[in-house]
Amino acid sequence: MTTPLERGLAFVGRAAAVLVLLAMLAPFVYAVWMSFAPGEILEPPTDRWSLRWYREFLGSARWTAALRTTAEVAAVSAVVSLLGGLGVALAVARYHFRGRAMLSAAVLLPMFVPAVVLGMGLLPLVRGVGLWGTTLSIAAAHSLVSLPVVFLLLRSALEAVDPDLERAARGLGAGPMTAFRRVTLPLISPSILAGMVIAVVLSVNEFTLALFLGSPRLRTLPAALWPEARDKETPLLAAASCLSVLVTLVSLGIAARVLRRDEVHKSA
Amino acid sequence: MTPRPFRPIVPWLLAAPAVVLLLGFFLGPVLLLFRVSVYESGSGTGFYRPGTWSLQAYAGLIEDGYGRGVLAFTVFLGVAVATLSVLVGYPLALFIHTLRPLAKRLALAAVILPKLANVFVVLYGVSLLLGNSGPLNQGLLWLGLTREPILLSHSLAGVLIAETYLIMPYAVLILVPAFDRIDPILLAAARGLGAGSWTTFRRVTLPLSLPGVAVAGQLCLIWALGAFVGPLLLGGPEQTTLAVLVPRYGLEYGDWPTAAVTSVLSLLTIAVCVTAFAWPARRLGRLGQTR
Repeated sequence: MTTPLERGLAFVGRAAAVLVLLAMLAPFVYAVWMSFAPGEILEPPTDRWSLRWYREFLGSARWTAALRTTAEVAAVSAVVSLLGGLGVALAVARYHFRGRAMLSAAVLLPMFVPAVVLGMGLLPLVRGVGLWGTTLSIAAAHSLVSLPVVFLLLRSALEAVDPDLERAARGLGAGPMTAFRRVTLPLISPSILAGMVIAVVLSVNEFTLALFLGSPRLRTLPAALWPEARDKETPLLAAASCLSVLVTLVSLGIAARVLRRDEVHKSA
Repeated sequence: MTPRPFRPIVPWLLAAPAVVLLLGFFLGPVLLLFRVSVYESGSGTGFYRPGTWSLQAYAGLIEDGYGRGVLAFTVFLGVAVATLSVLVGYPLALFIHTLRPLAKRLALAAVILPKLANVFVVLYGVSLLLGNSGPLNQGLLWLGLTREPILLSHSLAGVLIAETYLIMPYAVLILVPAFDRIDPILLAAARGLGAGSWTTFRRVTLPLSLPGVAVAGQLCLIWALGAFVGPLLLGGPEQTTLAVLVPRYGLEYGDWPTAAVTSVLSLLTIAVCVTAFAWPARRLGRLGQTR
């Protein structure tokens, strides 16, 4: 039996939850609005809107170079974390061997070490081997961050695949590689895509490791924006941030489209 | 499934890329941190004096009151943010759990968005909202609750709110599946036995969700203890955490031993706090099963 008091309480609870959700979205709405400001100061535009800060951002060599670096780092780190994550997921999901539990625990470890600690440990290492300020070092650090996520995604995808399917392919004369390529790979491809997208998104927005491992000549966008965020309070940061959110949303959108086409394809 | 015969080398070959990455870029750097932390600080040109062994950097950080104060604030902030994240995330996750599929997906997307976007956008938006001319202060002024704007950014309140924005999504992502796992038949049974919605929540939903709360609290604590960007952007000098000191010593002052000591302390803090939380977390998880 619900009393009127309980119904009232439930309503208040729901209203509060909706408010919290809106509060989660508020910073974004505010930042997008701010990015169209015409002036130097941080005042959300009310009557005059302008694309001035977008032009400034896209017209300067410093920012476009940072954008290119960000894209390169994200691409390399997505590939590396896919190779690593898929390999471990296959080993753990398909084989029983000594050290299996230890291996799946070790892959998750990077999630529990703060980024500043990892960055400070990597700094002397990459300086020592002459990789400091290279795309490769930042990408390797980023793939370490997305490795646990990609691994968890692909492990659950592989566990959902019926092992008899691959056995049937083997029974029909396919080698292990062919059976994997023709049967298992198509079945887990949506998870692979999802993992790649997450790896790209994490890398594009990662700031701490990029700050430690980037050099003055090679910076990803978040690291290059940092002085801007600290000292100069112009709407440029809002414009740059909106562009990076746009990149994130577009890549997520493309992934969602591809996945849906995939499902239609399968059901057809 | 039945394991098929294979040569034991096969799984390790598959795992090789990840193992190489973990050894070279994770285990290596962490071990290197411990080594760098016992060098003598370099003077002038070098980041440290090669070939030296000393505890000078440890002594320098722990003996002066500043380092101890930063350590205390780090623990305080970690516990406060983890608590806030679970307290706000719990009712929010319960609400999201009751939504229909489409609305649920949208709500989860709204929660995850801060984790998928550039951290500056989130915190920048937060600081604008909290600023003197921001809507929060203006609203308080308009309501006549304060005479002048309360300084919310560059204060403890700003850092707490900012870090909760960054950590709470994890709590929600862990708690929503925890609620989804509760068998709806149990709720119907409680209803059928005459329990109201409050009693049903108190006697069925709450106890069964406690293991999820324990996991969420544990993980939020780990991430909140490494709080870096929030204190950096929205904190004043009073709100310095260990994580903020690491790049300050390592990148600005070029004093690698002290930066490494700070990192080691940060790792130790996480290990100690997580161990301390493990026992109450287990109790919390068991509470749910004994009802």
